[in-house]
Amino acid sequence: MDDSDDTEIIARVCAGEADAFGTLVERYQRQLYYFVVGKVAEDAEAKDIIQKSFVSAYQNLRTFQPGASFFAWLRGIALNHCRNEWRRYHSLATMKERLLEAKRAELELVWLEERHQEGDHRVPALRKCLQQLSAEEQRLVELRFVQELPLQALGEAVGKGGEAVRMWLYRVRQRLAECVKRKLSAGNLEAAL
Amino acid sequence: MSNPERFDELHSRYLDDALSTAEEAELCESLSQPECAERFLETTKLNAEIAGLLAAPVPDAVMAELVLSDIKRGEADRVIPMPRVVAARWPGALKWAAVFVALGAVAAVYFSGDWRSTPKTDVAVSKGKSHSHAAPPPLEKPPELVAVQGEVYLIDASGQTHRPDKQPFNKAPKLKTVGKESGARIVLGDGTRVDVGGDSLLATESAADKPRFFLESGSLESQVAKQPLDRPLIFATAHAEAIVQGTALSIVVLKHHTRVVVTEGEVLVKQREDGTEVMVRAGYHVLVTPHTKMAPSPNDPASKHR
Repeated sequence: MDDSDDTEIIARVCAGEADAFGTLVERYQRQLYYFVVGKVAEDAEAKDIIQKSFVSAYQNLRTFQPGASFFAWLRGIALNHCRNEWRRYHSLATMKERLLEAKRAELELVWLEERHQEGDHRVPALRKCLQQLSAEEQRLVELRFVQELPLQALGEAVGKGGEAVRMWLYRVRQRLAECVKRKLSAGNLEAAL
Repeated sequence: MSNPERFDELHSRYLDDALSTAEEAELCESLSQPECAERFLETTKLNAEIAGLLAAPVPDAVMAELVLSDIKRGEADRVIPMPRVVAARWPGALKWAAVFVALGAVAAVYFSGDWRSTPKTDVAVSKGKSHSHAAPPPLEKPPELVAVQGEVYLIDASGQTHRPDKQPFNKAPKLKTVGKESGARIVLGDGTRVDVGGDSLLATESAADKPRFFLESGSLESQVAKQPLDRPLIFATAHAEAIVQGTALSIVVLKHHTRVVVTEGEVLVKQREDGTEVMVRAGYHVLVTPHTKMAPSPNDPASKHR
């Protein structure tokens, strides 16, 4: 990978070397993905937003202030795309009279306005919390989220009924949510990273 | 909600897609209470984060390729909105008209003979292998969307959405199907048929007169007509490239791998992460996972992906 600094690459892109922009994509796409994940409904949407954010960044590259952090700027663009995505989600859900989804979109939009700063720390905190699960719980998470087993098959794999395994999974999620919250609370932010 | 256990029950069902309509209304009602709303959002958000954290990332080079491709084909002119045209909400008469147009288009392709004359697959794609047949002439007409089912959205190069009607598909380089039962059929000028499955996102990248399909998510099945030797048809995913000269195959993209199932002929499958290749013949499939050696296995006769 090209190890030039961001400003140098941006200057090359602005001078017409469009392919040099690929270096910035390779450099930041994964970091941006972990920032966006959880700010939209699905993993596939997150990947789509990453792509759109880089395209928007390219379009507006001439407005980028030299000396500023390219990633911070990119993150702001991605955040706008997340907001737009939830607004569209809300419109669609309202149109289809899916009130729960519309309500969720409202809550997500408020969260994006008030707590998006947590975004940088949530995934590292979650990673730590996942490591603290028992081996059995880690296997449950793996079967559900990595192998994407449906509940019935998941129950068979761990020797429980579908309903029992659903509630077990929910308890694990709740504990993880509490763990992340604890790590993000005042004074514990350093420990989350 | 006065009963926290009931809230947990409903929320758990929500996260695992097991909520009835009545339960959905009940859960929605409970969200008017700030503490329920807070718990709902925290755990729902966490659910998405776990899925994202454990998902296979798009390789850096692949994302760079996607972005540069978007920029080069003019999508950089404007931010592309997510497609939100809802076919299911068309008025009844329009819906039926679309079905008849789609069926008519399929019938036209079939009775024109192009479909029936699709050459059978007998060509290997391995490098350096000799081939006995002459390459067919270049495609004369662009790929066409001939049938849709359920919610199907098209996005053109300028980000505009279009009604999923019969139209040249190369004017809408992205196609998205929403819902498990949705689907779309694209027919190329040479008779190649591409059936896009539910919950899929398919992008096309034009190279000369031939599209290169990029399946970002979901699944597709294809019956590929014999292709010119120097220009095989390529189906790409974040993990793999299936290089096809003429065969029948299906491709499924999951978070961590891509599955390529070959039912006729042979397909050269390339691992995008490290460039390794493997030839997969009829009756076999291969899982393409980053950093894992590809090993074709016999198709499961009980599986729908035979």
